[in-house]
Amino acid sequence: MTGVRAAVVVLLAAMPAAAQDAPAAAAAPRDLGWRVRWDDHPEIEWAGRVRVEVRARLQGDSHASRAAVARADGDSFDVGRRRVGIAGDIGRTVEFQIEREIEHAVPWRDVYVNYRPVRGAQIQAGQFKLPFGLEETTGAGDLAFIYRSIVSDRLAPGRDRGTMLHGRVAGRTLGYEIGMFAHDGDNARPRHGSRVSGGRTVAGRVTVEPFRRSTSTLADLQVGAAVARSSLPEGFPAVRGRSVLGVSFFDPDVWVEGSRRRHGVQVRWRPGPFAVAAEFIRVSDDRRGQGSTGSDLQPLVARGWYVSGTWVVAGAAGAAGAARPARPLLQGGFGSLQVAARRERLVLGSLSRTGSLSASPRAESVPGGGETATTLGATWHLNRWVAVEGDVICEDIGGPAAAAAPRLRVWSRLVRLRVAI
Amino acid sequence: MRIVALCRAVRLGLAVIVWGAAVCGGGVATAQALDELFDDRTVHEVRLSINERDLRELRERYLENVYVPADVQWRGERVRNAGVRSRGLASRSATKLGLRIDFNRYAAGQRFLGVASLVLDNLVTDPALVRERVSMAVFARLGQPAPRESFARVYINDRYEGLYAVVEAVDGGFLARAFGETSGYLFERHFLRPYRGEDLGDEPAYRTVFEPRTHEREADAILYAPIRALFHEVNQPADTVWRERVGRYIDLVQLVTHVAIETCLSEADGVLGYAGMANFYLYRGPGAETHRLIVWDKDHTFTAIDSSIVLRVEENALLSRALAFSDLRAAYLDALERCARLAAAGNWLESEIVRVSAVIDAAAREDVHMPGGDQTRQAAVAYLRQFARERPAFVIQEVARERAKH
Repeated sequence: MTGVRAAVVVLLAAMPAAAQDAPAAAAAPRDLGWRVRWDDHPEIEWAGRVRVEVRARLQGDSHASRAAVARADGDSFDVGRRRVGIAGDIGRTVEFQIEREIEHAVPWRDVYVNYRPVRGAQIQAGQFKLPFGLEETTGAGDLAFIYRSIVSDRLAPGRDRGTMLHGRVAGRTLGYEIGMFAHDGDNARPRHGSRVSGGRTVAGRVTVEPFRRSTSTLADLQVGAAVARSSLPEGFPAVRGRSVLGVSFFDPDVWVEGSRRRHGVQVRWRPGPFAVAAEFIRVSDDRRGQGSTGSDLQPLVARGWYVSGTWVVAGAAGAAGAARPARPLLQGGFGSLQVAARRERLVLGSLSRTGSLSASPRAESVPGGGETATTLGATWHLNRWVAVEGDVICEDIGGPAAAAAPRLRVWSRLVRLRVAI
Repeated sequence: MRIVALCRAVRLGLAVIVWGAAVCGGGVATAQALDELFDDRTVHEVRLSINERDLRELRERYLENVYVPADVQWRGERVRNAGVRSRGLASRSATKLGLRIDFNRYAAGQRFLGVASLVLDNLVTDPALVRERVSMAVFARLGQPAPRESFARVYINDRYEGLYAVVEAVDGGFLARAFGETSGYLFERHFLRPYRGEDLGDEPAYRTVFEPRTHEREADAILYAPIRALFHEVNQPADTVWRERVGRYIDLVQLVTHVAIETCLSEADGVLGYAGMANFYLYRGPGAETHRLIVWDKDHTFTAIDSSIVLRVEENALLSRALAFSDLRAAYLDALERCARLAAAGNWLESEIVRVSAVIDAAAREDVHMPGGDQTRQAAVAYLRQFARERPAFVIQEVARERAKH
């Protein structure tokens, strides 16, 4: 069965390449104003006023890990994601996107409309990612690793329903996003009713590209800072410690209530074929009135960082264009090859220790648990639609000190075949 | 050089002495404080702080063993984040919670006055409130290791919950005090259904009868093999080798002494209880096969002044066979007589009832959760005093009659 699935994936991988040979083969009658083409995606356009792209994504993963694998069934090949969607424009001021997973517990992904009267002030409404986290808000197709960092995956909010004002001003050197959301994103959404996540959330981010107008190698440098604040009902929090492959290393069975505050800083720089990115995120959950005597307790804090570097070894002009090889496979080239490395650390628990070490849900300070992971990866973009990725991950996992959990070192190997049209 | 070395040696010696004095002094101080906690000449005050949400849950789910964190305070001593749960069988109550406190529930090694656990007995099944305390005193005076007990006004979040008995938990600390060892196998009689000493077969069947309180993670084969062997041998014919075989797995003299004291006190819910064997621990020393009984939960004593001294013996596979042996029967009758004479000597038992009742009087009157109120308590105490006066003579008379039979 696994072999059949793999064959289907490979077959699908060849289809867009064939289409690329004849990008405008199926043109509709001009007198109706319809135009069909396939550039990045198959799309249909009417009289230059309405444009609709059709998008689809299919990926298959192979995992081999010494750890229990929560994202798949152990060592296996698994067609893990099948996703379809449309995106496009209506007139010059309205953009939209609708995307959903096939066979997924939470099928709807981005479903939003963006109204863009001017570049400096746009309004986006619907379901989309909160403006928080560099890697989290980068599309999966543009990542150099199979999985986002655990810091992004666990501490950035992810998607939710809301409205956001955003734009880029000062000659595009300054970007801003500020929005109000129903909750604090799906990354911290509880799978079980016994845990709680943030309620109404305000989130904002500012990014600056101070050298954008220069011609130096620093022109691409971007730094940013983001904050988010949510109300937090009483309960055990759903922000938990999970390794890259989903191994639990910290379940904060402690009472929280009050506010959840997220802070993040980010930096990205892509000079030529190289790129570096780094991010620090801190999530703090209040524990108001949660002491045995009804006193306030130290906040539960999760914080983490990553530093990553990528290098387009061959086949593309720069790091930003790695997913669009200059000479695709079967078109006179072999695609592009990008290698990457990432070091990251995630720690959960109280910032300082007061009182004796205790695993009590109302302990003054929560014993910490954490993980450090190193990922080495390579991505071969056959063309702009098909990529083969491979990562090797080494994780050092440590549970909460009060639980006396043994430290664990886990090696994992991941391979992904990705087809995205 | 020698002088320098000598000075170093002296400094080191002094440091060791100071450290040793601090450690030993701390231990002595803790032991003294624990002795004071179990001083039954006064009613102590124990204060628990439990988050109101947890307290609601504790009351709503009082039939379950749900732990919640609590801060525990007695005098100037305070322990934070102890684990507290509802406890008891018939005595479980949502209005007056029976509580078990495990100080090491959330923090391995955490102790309160050197102990890992304490029981706060809500006394709701004893209208006189003193049965448990007085019965334990009888066991202790007759040389049987018994949990220490005192009384306390218990406040939860500064609200008076009622008068409680503070009971020493039968755990590692108790074993150290009673037997000078902590590494043996301790089992609590776990009441899911009546059990009267039948052969249950394989080891896992005994897990439903005896719940391990130490070595909990060991395999059933290790935990229960001697218990299985005990009840297997018990149910063999009571021939000449029965005693030797059974005696390998249980201290028979200690067993009949324990049961004799229960019988002397007219215990309705003990080893020969109305619902089978109840309210005791089994203890097996490290590397040993022989078990002994440890007394527990004596709030159904003083049932009837004239209850038979061989009541329900024939219903129990172990006692019915054991008491068929003349030396064990003699030991049983001797223990009964010792118990009765202790109770009667100088009117000790009645004096003890009067003394303890006087100690708790004011706190009991304030206890609005006391079943039946203070009038019921006064009547119950009056009955206990009558029991204390009349029961010893009845027991001695019955013992003489039994001896005359054989």
